[in-house]
Amino acid sequence: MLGGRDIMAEVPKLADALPPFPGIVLQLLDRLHDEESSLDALVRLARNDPVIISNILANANHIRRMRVQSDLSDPFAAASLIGLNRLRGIVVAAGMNQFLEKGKGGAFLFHHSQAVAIVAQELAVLCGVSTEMAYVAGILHDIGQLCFHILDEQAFKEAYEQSSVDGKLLEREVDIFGLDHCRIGALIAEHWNLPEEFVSTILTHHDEATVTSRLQATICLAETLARALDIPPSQKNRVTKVNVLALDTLGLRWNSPEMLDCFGRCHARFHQLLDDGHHEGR
Amino acid sequence: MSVQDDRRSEVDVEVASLDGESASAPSTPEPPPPPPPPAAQATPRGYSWLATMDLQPGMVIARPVVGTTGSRATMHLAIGSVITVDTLAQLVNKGVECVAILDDHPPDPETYAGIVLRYEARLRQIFEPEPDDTCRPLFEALIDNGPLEC
Repeated sequence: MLGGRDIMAEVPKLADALPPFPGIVLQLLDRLHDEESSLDALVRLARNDPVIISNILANANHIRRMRVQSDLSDPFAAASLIGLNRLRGIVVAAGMNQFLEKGKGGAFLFHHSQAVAIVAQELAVLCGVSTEMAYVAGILHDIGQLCFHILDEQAFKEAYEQSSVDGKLLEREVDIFGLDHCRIGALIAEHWNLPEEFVSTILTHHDEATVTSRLQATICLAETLARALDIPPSQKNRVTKVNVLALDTLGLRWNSPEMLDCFGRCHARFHQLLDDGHHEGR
Repeated sequence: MSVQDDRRSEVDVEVASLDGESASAPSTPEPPPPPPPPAAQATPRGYSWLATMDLQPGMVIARPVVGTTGSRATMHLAIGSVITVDTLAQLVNKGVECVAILDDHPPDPETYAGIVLRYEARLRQIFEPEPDDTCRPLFEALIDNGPLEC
């Protein structure tokens, strides 16, 4: 067993072994409160990232082809066609998904993180939390599990499999590594100098009766709802507790018409993402 | 994403009409018949959620959509609106991620009843051994909502 103190000393090395946190996403988050933030400025930030730029062009050219117009190759023209809202969504989703794809977490963690990000974004729309912050926090919430994959992949996989029966993952992680994935994830987020809201969200996303912020409440519920909706489909999906305080804090009800539509939207968006992934060969 | 569906009005009436049920209540109350098992009384909701990039001109909107710019609502598509190329461009521009579309070919009741049974069995697995007090409202909402792939 590795002691908790040993792991804390390893945090800088672990952070180096993880994919670099996408700087463009941090810059976007910095500008989120600036409603006047220009489309051109965001394209200038994004233009060195081929995946983000190709996403922007693909979205614009989808519309152009329906109008029987020729494809665009200029990202600034493409961005002005799709607009700032869509552009922000592409930067956050493409930036964070690239980060996740480069990690060593296996298919379930990859898809689970994407599912929680989508569900968090849809819940955020209902309760007035920033949708971009919700997506980023959803992708990052299990970053501690990526660390355990790096430290001892086999031991972590065994602990995960055993825990799908009794739900005692956090306890097993402490037995093996000296701390659980929430704690190590929060240490990594601190090391990256992410905003405190992200650190506390990662640290307490499994808490059943704690709310530290509206973002954390959103991620707690998104984790639960992604599993309840069975996205990604897996025998590992179990729901044994709901953080009721999080639900009350956000003013949400499971049986409201808005929430019932939210179920459908989450399901549709996740399965579209899976289809896109299959087309791209993942 | 800064777009929300406007579900604050017309919801009950529109859902009832999409489900093929009457929105008006009978004037003389009658004793209710014994409830059939859930799958037997289930009917397809009549619409599916599609990602915006999968929409095609000619599809019919089944839930209201509101697009915003900043905090201002700048687009409203009502139930029954037909999607055009220009609508599609607006949906992308407003960051709308997905839209409810009327089903042309909903499954027949027998097929749908089978889908509902499988869906409910899977939900019981996810919430096993039994949903506790904190989980029950979510479990019941998912059961009432019915399967999502139809």
